[in-house]
Amino acid sequence: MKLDQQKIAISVKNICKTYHLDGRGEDMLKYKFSTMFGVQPKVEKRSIKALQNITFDVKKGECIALVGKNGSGKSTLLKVLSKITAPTSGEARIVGRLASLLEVGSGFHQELSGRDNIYFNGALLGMSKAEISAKFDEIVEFSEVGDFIDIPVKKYSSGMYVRVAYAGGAFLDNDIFILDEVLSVGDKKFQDKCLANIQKLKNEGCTMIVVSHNQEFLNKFCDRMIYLEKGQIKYQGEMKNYWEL
Amino acid sequence: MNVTIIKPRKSQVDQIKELYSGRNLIWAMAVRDIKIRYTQTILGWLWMFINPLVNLVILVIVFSKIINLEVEGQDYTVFVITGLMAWNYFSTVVADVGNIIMNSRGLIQKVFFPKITIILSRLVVGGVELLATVLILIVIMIYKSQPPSFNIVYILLPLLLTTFLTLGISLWVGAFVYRFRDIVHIVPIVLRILMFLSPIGYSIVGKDEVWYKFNPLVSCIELYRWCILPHYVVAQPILPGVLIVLFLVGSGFYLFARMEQTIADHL
Repeated sequence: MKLDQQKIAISVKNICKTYHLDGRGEDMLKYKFSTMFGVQPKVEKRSIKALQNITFDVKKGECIALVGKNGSGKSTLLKVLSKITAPTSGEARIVGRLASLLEVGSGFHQELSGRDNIYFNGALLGMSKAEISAKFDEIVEFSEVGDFIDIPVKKYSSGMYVRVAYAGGAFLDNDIFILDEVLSVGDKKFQDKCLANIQKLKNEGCTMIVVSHNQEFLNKFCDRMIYLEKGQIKYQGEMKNYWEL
Repeated sequence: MNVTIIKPRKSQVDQIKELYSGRNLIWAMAVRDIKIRYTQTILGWLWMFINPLVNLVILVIVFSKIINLEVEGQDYTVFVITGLMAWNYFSTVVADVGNIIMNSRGLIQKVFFPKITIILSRLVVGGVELLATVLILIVIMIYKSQPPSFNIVYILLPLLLTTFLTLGISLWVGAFVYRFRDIVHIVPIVLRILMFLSPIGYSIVGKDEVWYKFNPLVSCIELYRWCILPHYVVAQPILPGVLIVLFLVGSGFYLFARMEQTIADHL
């Protein structure tokens, strides 16, 4: 049992996430004051249950496909796992360093050079300067920007931008990767490169959670799938074509 | 291998650990902001000096040349700069904090990082701006061949006090601004009033109004002057200001740590 637990990279137990829709300051004040004085509040509290009792485990080195329609809670789940937002209840345990490529390049600043952005992005993901330097050449080579690395990224073509952004996240030392629609970026050649990179990460024993609407891609890489619908897990198990669910 | 536990509410110990593991980000963010600030400007770094210089010239002209104010036998220009060392640092950082947090929205909703980093890195940038004011002070003191007081060895005290005061107020602003954006509009008004209620361009010797007694900025300014101006006697006790600053920092940390956990859902 103990050995089993060591092999688990992500363990999610009964995670729920409720979003309150009336987050406006004045409503909150009204609500707080009326409850304070024992008056029935006039403002009603509307809420959305974005995640309900999500429970699953991911073993170390496993690649999980997370699928579901728009609004099914995939992004919310990824945000909870990446610590961007806290769950309303439940608990998750993550063993190892997790990097989420939720939206590649979200830490990038237009005025800074590719080099500065790669370093800043690394710091954002909790890396030290030395750790980033160790990977820097690899990142530049992968992104094929060459001498442009010292030019502000606002002058990049969108292809170059995406390549630097992807490489800046994917090439840092991490144990767990969250990939959210990373393949929707770049041209065919770059996509193939990304696929090769993902395969390499997988071979190295990295754990992955992949969100994609590309079934072919998911079938190729993922060992298991989780299908979400309206914030609940509807299916969990072997890979299937998700439109059949 | 490090284990992360994700729970509905983090303990403050967890948050301090997160801040420690993300400490590289404070410098990275500060360096980024300084680099961005002066790109595509003709004057570049010179802007850092222009702001305090303009403040200085206005105060000198208004108080010294027009009103003919006397300040305890001190050189007026040097007297004003010692006040500006506290005021410029405090006011530029506090005026900025609300907007920086609102503008970090894209980052906060896409990547996890300790949000207090935003404030701490702004304090670092403020420190770099302060260097410009210090350089101006040194140049003027050399020009007027006025040596500093021996108390200059204690210069870290006012520096720390001003930093902590700025930190405390920034934490308070940060803790509420994402929910009550009114704060973005209130802060500049309060700063404008505070500027006149603080002895930047004048001395408060013999004045005992209540707004000086409970204004922690007075303690910062008086301490700076005591360290730099020769034979300067502080006009009122420093301690009340220090206590207020400690309270602001303590409560600020508490409030900010609480709001940090929900900010991504509300910004």
